[in-house]
Amino acid sequence: MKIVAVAACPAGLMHTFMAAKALKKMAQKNKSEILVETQSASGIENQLTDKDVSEADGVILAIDTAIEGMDRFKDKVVVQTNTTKVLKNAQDIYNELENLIGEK
Amino acid sequence: MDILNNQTVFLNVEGSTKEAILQAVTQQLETSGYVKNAKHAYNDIMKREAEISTGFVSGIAIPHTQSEAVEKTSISIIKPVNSLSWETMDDSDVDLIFLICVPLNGLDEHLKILASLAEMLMDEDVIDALHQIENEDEIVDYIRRKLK
Repeated sequence: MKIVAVAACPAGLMHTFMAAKALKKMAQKNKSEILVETQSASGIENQLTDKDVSEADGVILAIDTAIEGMDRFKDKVVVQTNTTKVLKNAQDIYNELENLIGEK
Repeated sequence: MDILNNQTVFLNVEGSTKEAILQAVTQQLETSGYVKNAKHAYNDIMKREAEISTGFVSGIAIPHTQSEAVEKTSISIIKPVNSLSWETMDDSDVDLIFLICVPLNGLDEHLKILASLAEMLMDEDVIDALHQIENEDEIVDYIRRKLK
C-alpha cells in the first residue's frame, strides 16, 4: 500500500515529529510505503507533491490543528486522526485505512 | 553543544508535582541564562500542557514551549526523586522529563535536532538506557551520540 500523511501539532515542536516517526514505523511494519509531510512551527517539510498524492492509495492526517492544503486530499481515501492516537496505536489507524480502501 | 550539556541535566529533583518540578527547573534555567523570565516561561509551558498533555509512554513527558521568555534553546533532561502524576498515553507515572525551551526566533536553527530528538524518543532501547543512566555527563554523552 502507498500512503501519504501529514503530521501537525499545536506548538509544532515535538509531537509532529514523533507522530511522523510513528507513522513511518507503522508503514515499515506493514510493508507499506509512506511519505510524511510535517507542518511544524518552522513551516512545511517534506511537502507532498501532487504526484505523491495522486499515486497514494490512502491518506493519513495526524493533525491536532488546522493544516494547509487540505483540499489536496478531497478525492482520496482519508483517515483523519490526531498525533496522540498515532503515538498510542498506529496499527489501528493503518487497519482503518486498509478497511476504507477495501470498501472503495 | 550549548543546547544540551551538564547544566541542562537535572537529577534527583525534589518536588511531588509536575508544577513544582517545572517551576524549579525553569528557575535554574533562568539562573544559567537559558531563560529570561522563569515565571513567564513556566506559564507558557503549562499553557501548552493544557492544550494536550505532553505525557508520552514509559514514564516520559516532553513539556515544551516556544516563548518570548526564553533566551536560548535548551533541552533539559529531568529526573525527579518521586514519580509524578501526569496524563500519559499508557497511564504511567512520569519519572523522566525532556523539557524543551525555544526562543521565538530560535526554531529554524534547532529544528533538525528537535526532530531528531523526537524520533529518538520513539526508540524503546534509548528510553530504557536513559532511565538507567544516573550521571549528568553520561546522559549528555549518550543523547549526543544518539542525535547524530
